[in-house]
Amino acid sequence: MKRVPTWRYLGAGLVLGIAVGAALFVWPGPLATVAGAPAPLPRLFQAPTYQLVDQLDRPVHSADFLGKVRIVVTMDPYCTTLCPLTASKVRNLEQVLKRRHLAHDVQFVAFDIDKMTGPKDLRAFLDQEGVNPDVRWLAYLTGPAKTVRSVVHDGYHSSYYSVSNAQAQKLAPSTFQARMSNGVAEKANAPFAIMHQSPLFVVDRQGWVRAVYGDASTTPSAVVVNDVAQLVGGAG
Amino acid sequence: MTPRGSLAIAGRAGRVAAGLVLGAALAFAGAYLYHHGSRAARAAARAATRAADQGYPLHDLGPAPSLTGFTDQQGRAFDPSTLRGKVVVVSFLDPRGTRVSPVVAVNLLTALESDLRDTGTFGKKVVFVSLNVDPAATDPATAARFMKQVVGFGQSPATPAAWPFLTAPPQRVTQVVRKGFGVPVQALDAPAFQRYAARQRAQGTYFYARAWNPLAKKGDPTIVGNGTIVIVGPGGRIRARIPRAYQVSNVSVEQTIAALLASAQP
Repeated sequence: MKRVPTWRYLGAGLVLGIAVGAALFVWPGPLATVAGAPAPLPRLFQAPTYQLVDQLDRPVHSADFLGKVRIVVTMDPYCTTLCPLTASKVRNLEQVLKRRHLAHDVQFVAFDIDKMTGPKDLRAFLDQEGVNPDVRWLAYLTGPAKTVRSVVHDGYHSSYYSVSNAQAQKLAPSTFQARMSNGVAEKANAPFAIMHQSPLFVVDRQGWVRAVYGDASTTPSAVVVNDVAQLVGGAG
Repeated sequence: MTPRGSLAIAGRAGRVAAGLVLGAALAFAGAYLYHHGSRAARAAARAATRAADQGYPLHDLGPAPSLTGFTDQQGRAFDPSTLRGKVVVVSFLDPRGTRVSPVVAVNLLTALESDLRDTGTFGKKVVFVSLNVDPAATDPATAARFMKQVVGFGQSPATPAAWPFLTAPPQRVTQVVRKGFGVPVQALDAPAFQRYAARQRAQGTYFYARAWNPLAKKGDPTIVGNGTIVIVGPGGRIRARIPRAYQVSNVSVEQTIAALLASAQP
C-alpha cells in the first residue's frame, strides 16, 4: 500500500483547525459585540417621503433609497458660508466610506433649499466643489419650493428662510461664519440670501432618522462613519 | 489489525491533530489581531465622538516657546509677559490664505463672541494669539487687514480685547511654530502641493472649499499644515493640540478652554 505523505495529514489538520479556530472565535456571537460595541442609535423619527428631481434632472422618489443607509444634508448652490464646507465634508466622507468598504451601502442625499435654483445650478456647484455631478452616490435634489419646504422644514425639522441681500449684510457680523468663494453665486448675483442651518442626518435602511448633527462641516468624519458602520451591520 | 497497523493509524491521527492545533492557533491569532485592530478603530471613533461633544483631552505636552522677537499687526514689539498666567489659544494663520486660515480664525471669533465674551474671560483669563506663517511674503500691515477684512475682528463693538496677530523673520517663525509648538507648517510650490492634495484626497481629508480673501495673490506658494490650534495653560505649558481646527466646532474649543480654566493643574 502506498504511504500517504505526512504533509497531507498535517495539511488536512491545518485546514480543519483554521475552520475550528475561526468558529471558536465568533461563537456564540461575533466578539465585536461582546467587546463593547457602541450602544445602538435610537430611532428618532421617520424620514419624510418625497418625489423630486436630482442634479441630472432625473425623477427621484424617496423609496428609491430604501435598503440603503442615507447621509442627508442641505445645500444652497448660491451659499457663500456653510454650504461649500458641507460639500467638502460630503466629498471626504464618501472617500472615507469607500476606504472602509461601506460606500456601497450608503446613499448621500442633499436637498437644495434655494427656490431660485435648478439642476443646472446644482451641477455647477458640485463641479466647483470637487464633486463630479454624474456620480450616483450623491443625489442632490430640487423641485417646487413648497415640496422642498415640506421635506426639509416640516420633515427633517431644519429651518431656513430668505432675506434680502441688505438684510443679510446687516446680519453677517452676528453670524460669525467665514465667507467662502462661490463662483456660481457670483455669476447668479441673486437678489436675496438664504439663512439656514446645515445639519447632517443619518437615516437607516428602513427610513428612520437615527442621528442628527447640528453642523455637517464640523461633525467628525469618524463619528458619522461609526454610525454608518453600525447601521450597515444591521444593528438596531 | 496488527500492532504495526494500529501504530500507523495512531501516527496518522497524531499528525492530523498536530495540524488541527496549529491551524486553530493560527486562525485564532489572526482573528484576534484583526479584531484588535477594529477595536482600536472603534475606540478612536468613540474618542472622536467625545471630542465633538466635550472638548479635547488635556495633556502636558511640554513648555510653550517664548514669543520674543515678534511684532503685532500694529507694528509694535510684542511683549510675551502679557500672556503670563492666562490660557493662550494659538493659531497659525496665513494672511493671504484661501484654504483653512479664514475658517480657523472665524471659528475662533465665534467662540469668542458666543462664549468667552459673555463669561468675561476674554482678555482677562483667555487670550488669542495668531502667528503669521507666511512672514516671507506678508507684513504686519497685511496681518491687520486680514483681521479686519477677512475675520471681521474689531468691527463689532462687542470685541473689547486685542487679538495679536504676530509676525517675525521667517527663521524665527519656523523655529517657534515647527520646533516650539510642534505644528508642521510648510510652504509648497505648485507641483508639491498637487502631490500633497492627491494624498489628502485619497485619505478623505482634503479641504475642497475655498475661502474668500481679497488679500490672496495668484502664484503664491501654498501654506499647508497650519490648521492646528494649540492651547497653552496658565503655567506656560502646551495642554492641547487640536488638529484640523477648521473642521472643529467652536463649542469643542470652548469646552477645552473651560476644562483648562477649571483644572487645578495650570
